[in-house]
Amino acid sequence: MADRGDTHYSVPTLNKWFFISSALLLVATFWMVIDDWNSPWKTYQAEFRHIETVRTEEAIASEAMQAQALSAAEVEGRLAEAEAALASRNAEVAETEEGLRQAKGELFTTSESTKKAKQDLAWERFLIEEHRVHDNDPTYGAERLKTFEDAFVALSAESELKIAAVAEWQAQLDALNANVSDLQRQKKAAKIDLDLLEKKLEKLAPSSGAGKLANFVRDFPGLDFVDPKNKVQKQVLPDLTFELNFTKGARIDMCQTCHQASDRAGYTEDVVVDGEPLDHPYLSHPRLDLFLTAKSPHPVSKVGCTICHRGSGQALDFIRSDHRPVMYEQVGPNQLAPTADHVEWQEEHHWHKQHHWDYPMLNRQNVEASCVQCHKGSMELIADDAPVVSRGYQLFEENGCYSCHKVEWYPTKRAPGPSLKNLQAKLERPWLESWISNPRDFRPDTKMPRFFHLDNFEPEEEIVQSEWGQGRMILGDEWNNNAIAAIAAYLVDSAPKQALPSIPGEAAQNADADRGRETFRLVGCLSCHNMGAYPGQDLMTSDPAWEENESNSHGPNLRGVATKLNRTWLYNWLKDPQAYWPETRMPNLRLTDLQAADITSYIMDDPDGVFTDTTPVWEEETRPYELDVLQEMARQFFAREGRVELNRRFAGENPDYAWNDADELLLAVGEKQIQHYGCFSCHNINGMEGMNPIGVELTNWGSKTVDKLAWEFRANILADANDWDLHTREEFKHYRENWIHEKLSNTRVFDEEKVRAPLERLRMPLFNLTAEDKQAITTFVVGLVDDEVEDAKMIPTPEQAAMDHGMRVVRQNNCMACHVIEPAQVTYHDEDGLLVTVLAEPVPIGDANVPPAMASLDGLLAEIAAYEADYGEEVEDLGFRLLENAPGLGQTGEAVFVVPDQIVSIVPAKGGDFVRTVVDYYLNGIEMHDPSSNELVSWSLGEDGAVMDVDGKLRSYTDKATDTVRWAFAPPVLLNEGGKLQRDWFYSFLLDPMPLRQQLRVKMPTFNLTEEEAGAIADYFAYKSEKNWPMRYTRTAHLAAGIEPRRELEGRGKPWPELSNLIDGNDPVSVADAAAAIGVKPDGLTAMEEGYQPDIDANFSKVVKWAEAWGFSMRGPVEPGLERIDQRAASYHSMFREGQSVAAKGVNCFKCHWLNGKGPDQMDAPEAWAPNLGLARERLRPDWTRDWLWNPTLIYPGTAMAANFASAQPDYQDQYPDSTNAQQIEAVLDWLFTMDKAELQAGQ
Amino acid sequence: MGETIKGLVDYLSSPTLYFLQVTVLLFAILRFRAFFTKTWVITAFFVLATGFMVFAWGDPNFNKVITKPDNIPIIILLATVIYFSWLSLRRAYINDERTKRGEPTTEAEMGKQRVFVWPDLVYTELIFMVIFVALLVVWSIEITAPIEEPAASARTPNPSKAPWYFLGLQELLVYFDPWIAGVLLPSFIVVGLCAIPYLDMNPKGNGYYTFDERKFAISFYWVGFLLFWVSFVILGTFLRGPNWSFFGPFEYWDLHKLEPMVNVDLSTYFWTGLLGQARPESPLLRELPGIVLLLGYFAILPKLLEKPLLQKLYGGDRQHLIRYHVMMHLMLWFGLIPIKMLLRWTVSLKYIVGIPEWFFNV
Repeated sequence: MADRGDTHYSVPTLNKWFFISSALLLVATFWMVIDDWNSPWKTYQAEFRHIETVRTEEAIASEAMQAQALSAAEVEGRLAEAEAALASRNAEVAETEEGLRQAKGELFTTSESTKKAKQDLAWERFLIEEHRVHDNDPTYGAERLKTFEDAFVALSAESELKIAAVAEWQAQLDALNANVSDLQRQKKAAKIDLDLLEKKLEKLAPSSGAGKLANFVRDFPGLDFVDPKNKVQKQVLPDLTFELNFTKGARIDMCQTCHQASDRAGYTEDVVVDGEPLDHPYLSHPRLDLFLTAKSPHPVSKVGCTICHRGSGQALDFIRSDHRPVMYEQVGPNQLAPTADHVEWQEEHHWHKQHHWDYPMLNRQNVEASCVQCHKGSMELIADDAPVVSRGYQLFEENGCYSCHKVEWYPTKRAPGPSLKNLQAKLERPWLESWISNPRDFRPDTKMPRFFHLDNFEPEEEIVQSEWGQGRMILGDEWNNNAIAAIAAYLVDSAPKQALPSIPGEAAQNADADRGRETFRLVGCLSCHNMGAYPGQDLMTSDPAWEENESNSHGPNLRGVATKLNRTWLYNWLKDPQAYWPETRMPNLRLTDLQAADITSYIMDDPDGVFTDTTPVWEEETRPYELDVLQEMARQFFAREGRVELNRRFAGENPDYAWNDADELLLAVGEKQIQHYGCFSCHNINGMEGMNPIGVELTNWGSKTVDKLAWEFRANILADANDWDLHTREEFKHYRENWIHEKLSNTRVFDEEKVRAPLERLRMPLFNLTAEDKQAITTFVVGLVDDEVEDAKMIPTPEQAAMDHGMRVVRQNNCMACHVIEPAQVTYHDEDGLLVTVLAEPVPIGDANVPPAMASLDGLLAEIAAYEADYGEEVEDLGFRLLENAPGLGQTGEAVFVVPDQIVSIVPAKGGDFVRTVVDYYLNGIEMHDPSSNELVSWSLGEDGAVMDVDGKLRSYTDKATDTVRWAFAPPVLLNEGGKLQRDWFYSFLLDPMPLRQQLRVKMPTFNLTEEEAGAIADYFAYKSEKNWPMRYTRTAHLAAGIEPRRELEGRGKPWPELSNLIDGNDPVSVADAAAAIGVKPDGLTAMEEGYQPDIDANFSKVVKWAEAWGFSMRGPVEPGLERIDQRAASYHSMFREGQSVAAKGVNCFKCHWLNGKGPDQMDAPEAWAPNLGLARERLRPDWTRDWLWNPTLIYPGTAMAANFASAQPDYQDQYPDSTNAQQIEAVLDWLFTMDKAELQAGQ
Repeated sequence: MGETIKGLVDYLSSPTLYFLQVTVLLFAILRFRAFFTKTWVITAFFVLATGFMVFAWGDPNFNKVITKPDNIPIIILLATVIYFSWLSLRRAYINDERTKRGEPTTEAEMGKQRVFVWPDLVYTELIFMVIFVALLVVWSIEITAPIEEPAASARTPNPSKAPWYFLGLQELLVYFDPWIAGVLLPSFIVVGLCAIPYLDMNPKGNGYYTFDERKFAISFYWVGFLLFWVSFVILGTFLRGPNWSFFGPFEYWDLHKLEPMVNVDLSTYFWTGLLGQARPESPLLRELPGIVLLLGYFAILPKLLEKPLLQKLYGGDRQHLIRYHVMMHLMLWFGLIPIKMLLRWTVSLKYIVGIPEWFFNV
């Protein structure tokens, strides 16, 4: 055994090592604390505080604040004077203060004694009561009690005296101090905003050393758990759950830890701090009206961030929260270049995908995908605010995606393609085969996708070796051609020819192509169809009907259509489209035999060379088919039958399947091909009713994990083409959007490099989609997720559901082609440079007779440039007619003038494209390209551009004003239509329309609406009017506020508020004044006038109160749910006779108006005809009619209806003595709304 | 050149070859321990291994697997297990040589000297504990925890891997029914480990390293721990990818890699292959060949070996008969693992006895 002290290791050395190791541990521990403290978000918070400090300092230095400081200084000066004055009366003040002190002291002693006396009394009372009950002695201690009561009463009286004394002394003192304290108050009021800012600044950046030190310590590593300034901001969202194993956890979003300004207004890229514009994460959310703020429909406390943006809400780090840029842009086939954002992020933040997060943040382009999860029942309602995903949702319908790919909640089940059940009546087989081969050869913009001759069946590729690998090679082209021939053969065979009724002899004989052309143009065909050029074709015309736009692309482009159809089919189709295809969207225009025959003749004889003009690549031919290829197809399709059976059939030994005959086999293969490609999903085919669609269900495609996406070799090919490393390739595969985008770009792309048997190959057809379309569809499909928001999803109110449904029906039936349902919006800088937004329509420029189209700002500027070039004069300002009261600018119908360069943006009107076509035709005829002379020629039915009116006479309108023609002959605008029409009448009209204005050649068609759909449209308009009402009320009340008091002073009889919605003159009250009078902020008033719902909800009652206080009243809003229009009993309305007299003899309504089949006086001037007054009672709302009679131009600017009851000295005194305008209007209403009953009673 | 090496490594890493190589290597090391326990050999090995890592580091697939934060301990495990196994073998070899020369073992020699518990033992332990804690702290700062997506029962990660220490068991799932691989075999492992002191009566090797005196026990430990535990952990960590498919270290983890499944039950071989007829309907009759084989393996084999082994292990004392049979059964169950693996690799055998109707599959 070693001696003590003789250790194996040297103890001093061990001590050294112990020191070193302890030091290491200490360093490691500090490192840990600092590492834990050093989060990037703290840097962001510090930077944001700096931004706040700078901005607060700037605000303090701003003119307004300096003005406050100045006025406060001025008050301060006066305060000093007052204080000096007070100082001279020091003795007096001191004496009063002493008196007050004394009085307060006395009050204190007295009130303390009083309190004691009160307690003594209460205690004594208790004892005596006890005694009285116990001893049953009701008079016990009466005297004693009295003594205590007296003492208390005496003291109470004394203290009241003392209180009075104190008040007296106080009043004396206040009187002495009055001047000073008043000035002190003034001083405080003068710089209230400034003080707030200074307080804020002091909080942000303390000026004192102690404050600075405190701030430093609070955020020191290791101490910052007590009360740090830098804090994680989180939103806990119990309603928005997050799937955790078997449970649902509350979603927690900490995004605002860095994005601190996200829910505050005013942090935009325009703001410059330290010479740099603000950037993320210091910016406000771009749509605070919709998101984050408490007033918006999606407040951050309820919705958070990640439910929309996705990403990881609990991560506090740029990468871990799974931020995501728009990553690539297509620069060539297979060539994707990283975007600038992507590169910048990689350099700045070492950005990469956060792999272990299944819900990657959506990038800018796709972020609207999230809307779908809550808004399934209101996709139409959000169309304006979420244009991309709504477009995707609509394209999903337009392209018939839903018919192959089930989406459980998708609101339509209609087969999108035409019925093929009576195909032979319409088409010939060669045409059909060429069409199936590539529909775009015939019609470049068709919605029918292409199935054949695509990338995974290359022409020379060896698709399969026939006869179970023993026979010859079959090439891609052969395979496709045989498939096409087989499909066409089966389709023709399954639709045995049913003879259609022939064109009636008389109509056939009298048919006239020229007349047909005019009917075609005026009856409404062009609202849904166009004859736009195919790519590469130059038509040399400015005819609106030749230009493709969204509304006239609703139906197919009709160029070349005469080469496809036959006369009988076309005639029958025009007469009754539903007879051929019950689900067609083509409405019935109720054409007469002759009209239908005229149009048929126009299209089939084609004097303009339009309908026989097909694309250069189109060739009508049958596809070659061969027995051995068909047999190989049969082997693939009928493999289950077994080789023995198939060989029997091929040898013709099975009498039921004589497959040695190519034509026989063609049908069998055709049926299988149709089932294989799912043609029956879009088209009704005899014998294939009720088959299940073939596509993958997409109801929750967006929730499919990315590892389940069959990328096959696509990502590798892209990686090779773009020289990506493994990491980038994997990253690319981690986004669903990339996959679906690849799929939509080339639906067969995942077959690349794959070895697949013919029937295993991808079969989704190639659609005709633009880059924007693909983007939109991708966004929509990515939004189809498992419902993550069960508790919090938006459940539409009955009103919203009705509006959503109505909007869908309106869109599906293309109502907006003819009718304007939302006016255009123009935003421009006015003379003072302020940004102004108005609802308005353009008026014709200079000498032009048709106003410019306003589809886009670029389009408008191009039209102006074209006008300048044509007329050689500069357009200095552009006139716009207001379509909505604009306080500060004018009322409906008045014009504003805008310098074209100052227009900032344009939101085009919703609907009404066809109005332009009609107006242009009446005023200018058609400009057509004459193919023989290669020149532009003008054309119309009669001389001088005369058109045929409904009475068969030719009249020329070329010198009329746009307004005249538009209001006389074009389809009506439907602004506030729900406030105008009685819902029941509207509903019936939609189901069974009748001509309202007799001069119109455009027909309101009979749509293929169900009762429910007609109701949805009527409800939609009714709710829309109801919804607009607070906005209209506010604007009107505001405008009227400047006029009314004066008018009342003028003593114009009955005060006008009795008549609703009427204003004249233009002397508005400023927004600031009106807002102050109402008691809201100016912003709030403006927001209400723009229809901003949260402000309306919060403040509208104040507006109503304010307006009613000075006598303004507008009739209440439409109430669709409680539809009840008072029906007036004639006998109770004594004004009937006067009304009739005023109408017939005074105004003479019958000069223009029809009355139950009786034409107007001006029978020979159809442009002056007006609707049937006999319909008013059933059709119109009395409130609306009252407004209309007072001032029609306020409702329809440009209308020919005159304001008959607006003169300062009321007219028609002969017909209705001593009446005011208002009384006359009421009388006319009595007459209008009771005339049929009155006649009935008279008859009895 | 580089690609050729990678291709070769990938090829050699396939489970069969991998298993074969590790087995051969282990036994070669034990057999030629005189050579392998030289210091330059292990040095050369670590130099070569480091060289290989440097070479392989540049490969994205290799790099991706090797740098996963949760795989780093496995690499440390790999190095330490190799080093310490080598060290023990070296010590054993030195002792064996000394014994042969008639000298006492190194431990016996060292045992003559004694040191204080304090400071020589406890103080040094304390110092290393502090250093180790400091290292752990630094590690946890520098390599952040691999946080994955929120757990969801309906959406398991792919590959779903057991914790690293159970990857050997998970590997057995490839060859056995879950009942056997997941329940029976782990139970036997625990029971067997507990039973060692009662089964192993050999007093040799206590307190010093030796190989020659405990050849069977140490070889068996090497096979059991290094081959069937550690090497399977390595295989499971680095060479098993999505869907538990095999991937070479330089191979891309392709989610869609196909593994043809053509395994056949013994009964099919017997009835269809051998007798050329359809399998009988009755499960018992159908699986008769397998049942017979298993009975032979578990009942007859121990009986046959009883006499020689009892003699060898316990000096023929029949008092130790229970001890022998318990040990034998544990060994037979263990032996079933390589047997089943070999059968799978050679003749694509699925089950020896396969009665899915009764959840009885061996």
